Amino acid sequence: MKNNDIFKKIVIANTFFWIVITAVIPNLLLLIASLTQQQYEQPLNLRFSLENFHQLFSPLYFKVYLNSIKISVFTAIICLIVGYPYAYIIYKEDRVYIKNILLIGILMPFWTSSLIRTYSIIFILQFNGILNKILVGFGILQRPVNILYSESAVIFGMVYTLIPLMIIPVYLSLRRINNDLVESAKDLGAHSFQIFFRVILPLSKSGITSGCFIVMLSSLGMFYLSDLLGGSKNILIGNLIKDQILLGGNYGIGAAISTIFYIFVLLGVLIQKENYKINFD
Amino acid sequence: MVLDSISKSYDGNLIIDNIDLSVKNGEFISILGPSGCGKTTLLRLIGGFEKPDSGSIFINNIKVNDISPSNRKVNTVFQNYALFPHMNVFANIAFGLMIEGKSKSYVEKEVKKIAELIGLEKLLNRMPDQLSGGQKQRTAIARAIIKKPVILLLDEPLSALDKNLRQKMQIELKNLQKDLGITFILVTHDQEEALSISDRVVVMNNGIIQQIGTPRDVYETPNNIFVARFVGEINIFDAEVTNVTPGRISLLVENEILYDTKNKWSFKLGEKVKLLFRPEDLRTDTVKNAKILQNVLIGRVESTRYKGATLESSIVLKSGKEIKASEFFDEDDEDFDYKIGEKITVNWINGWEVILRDEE
Repeated sequence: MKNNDIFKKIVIANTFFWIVITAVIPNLLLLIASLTQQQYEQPLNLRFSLENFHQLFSPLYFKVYLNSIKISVFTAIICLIVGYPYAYIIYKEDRVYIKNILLIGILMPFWTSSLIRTYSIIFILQFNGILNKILVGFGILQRPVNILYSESAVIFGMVYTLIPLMIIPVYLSLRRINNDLVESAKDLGAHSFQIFFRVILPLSKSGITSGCFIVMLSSLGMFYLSDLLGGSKNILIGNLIKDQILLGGNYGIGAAISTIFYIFVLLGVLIQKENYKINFD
Repeated sequence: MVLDSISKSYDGNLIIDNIDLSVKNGEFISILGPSGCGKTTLLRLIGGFEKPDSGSIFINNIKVNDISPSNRKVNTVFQNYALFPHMNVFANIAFGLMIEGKSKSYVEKEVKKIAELIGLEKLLNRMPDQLSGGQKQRTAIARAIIKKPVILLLDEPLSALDKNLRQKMQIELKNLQKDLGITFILVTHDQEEALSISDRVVVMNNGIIQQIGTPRDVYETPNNIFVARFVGEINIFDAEVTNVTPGRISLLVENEILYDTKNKWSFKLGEKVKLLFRPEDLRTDTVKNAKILQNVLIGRVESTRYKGATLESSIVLKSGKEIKASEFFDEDDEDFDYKIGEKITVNWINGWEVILRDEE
C-alpha cells in the first residue's frame, strides 16, 4: 500500500515536472516577454508595459490577421469537403484490409517531413511542373499558367498537409455512432439519404468541429508554407511571429502575437470541451 | 407471419437451422433460449436486417425476403433502445412519420396520442440521456408503434431494467399488445418473462426450435430434456420400463422403487427413460413421520432455503443424485422445516410426471 503511494507520487511528480519544463516555463517566458519593454543596455532590467499589445492594433497587422483567418477558413472548408467523404468511405468499408489501406494512405504522408512534401508540391505546381504539363497536354489550357506563388497555392499546400487532421477526428466520430442507430433509422423507414442527413451527419458534428478547429489552428501557424508556396506575398500570423523574432529581433511583439493566439486556442479548447460534454456524457 | 424452412449461417456456422414457424395476427409470441441459440438472428431475419440463406418469410401472405427493413410493415424495439441521442423524445417518436413526409400537424397529433397511451406526455422535451431506463424503453416502444406495424419485434426489451420495473413493464407490454392488436414477437432468455407474458412460447436451442406451445404446455409437458431444464427447474430421475399395458406403465425408478402410473406414452418394455418432476410436484416428509415408507425414495437434506411462501430443500438421494423440492407451508405444517442432514422420504403426486426418452 505504502509502496504504491510512493510510486503514485513519483509518476505524478514526473508528469508534473515535464509539464512545467515544456509548457509552463516557456509560456510564462512568452507572457513576460510580451508584457515588458526590451532595453538593450540592460537586458535583465524588465519594465512592465502594454506597448507590445498596443502595437498589434496597427492596421498593417489587421490585414495580416484577416488574411490568415481567410486562408485558414478556406483551408478548413476545403479539408471538410474533401475529408468528410473520405472518412465516410473508411467508416462504411466492411473489409478490414481496405479500411487499413485507406487509413495508412492518409497517415503515411503525415510521417514524412512536411518540408520535403512542400518542396514536392513546388515541383508539381511550378510553371513547367507536372500539373501544368497535364493540363496543357489534355488541351484544358492553351499554355502553362502561374499557379505557384499565389494564395491558391498556399491553400492547396495547407489542405494537402492538414487533411489528415480533418479525416481522423471525423472518422473517429463516425466510428462512435452505434450501428443500432443506423438500423433503427432504417427500421423506421429511412432511406440511405435520410439516414445520412438525419442521423449520421448530426452525430458526427463533434468530429467536424474538432477537425475544423485543429485544421484552422494549424494553418495559422504554418509560416513555411506561405513562404515557400506563396512567395513573400502572403504574410500570415505565423510569418509575422517568425519575422518579428528572427528578422526584426522584436521579441516583445512576437511574444504578444503569440500570447493573443494562445488565448484564442485556449478559448477554442474550452468550447470544444463543452461540445464533447453535450455529445458524449 | 409464416417462416418457411429458414436457414442462416455466418462464416460456415449454422445459426438458424431450417426453422418453420407460423404466427397468427395479434398473437404475443416469445422466443426463448440461451444466448447464442439464434433467437436474435431469427428476429433480425424477420426485421429484414439479415437475409435468409434459404427459405421464405411471409408477412400477410406476401413474401418479404427481398423487402428492406424500411419497407417492411415490421418495427423493432432494440435491446439497448437505440434512441437517437441528438433528438428529444418528441423527435424520436416522430422520426418514422417525419421520414414519411407527413404534415407537421398530423405528426404532432399522432405523437401526442401515442405519448398519452404510453405515459410519456410530460417527457416529450427531454433528451434521451435525461431519461430513466423505463422511460427510454417506453420511448423506444412509442417510436416503433407510431408506424402502425403489423408485427412489433422486441429484442430483450426488459433485460436492462431492475426486477420490479421489469415486472411492471411486462404487464404494460401485455396490455399494450391487447389494446393495439399488433403481433408482438419478443426475444428473451428469461423463462419467467416468456411464460407470464406470451400466448405462445417458442423454445430455441442451437438454431432449432425445441418446442412451440402455450406457456402451460411448455412448462408442464416439455418435449425434451433441454426444454424441461431450460424452462423452470426440473428433477430428472433415471428409470426403466418394467411393465407396460395400454392403460398403465410401470417404472423402476433410480433402481430403487417401482412406480405405476397412467400410460400416456408409447415406450417399450425394458426401455430406459427419464422421469421428470418439477420441484413443486415433489412431496417430502421426515422418515419418522412418514405415513408410507414403501416405494418412496430416501434422501438426506443438503440445504434448505426459506422463500417466504415456500421452503426449498436440496436433497441428495442414495444414488448421489441431487434433487430439489419446493413445498408450501400449510395449516397442517405451519413451521415445517428440515435440519441439515436429516433423512427424509421423497414422493410425488401420482400422474403429474413427464416421461421422456433417455437421450443421453
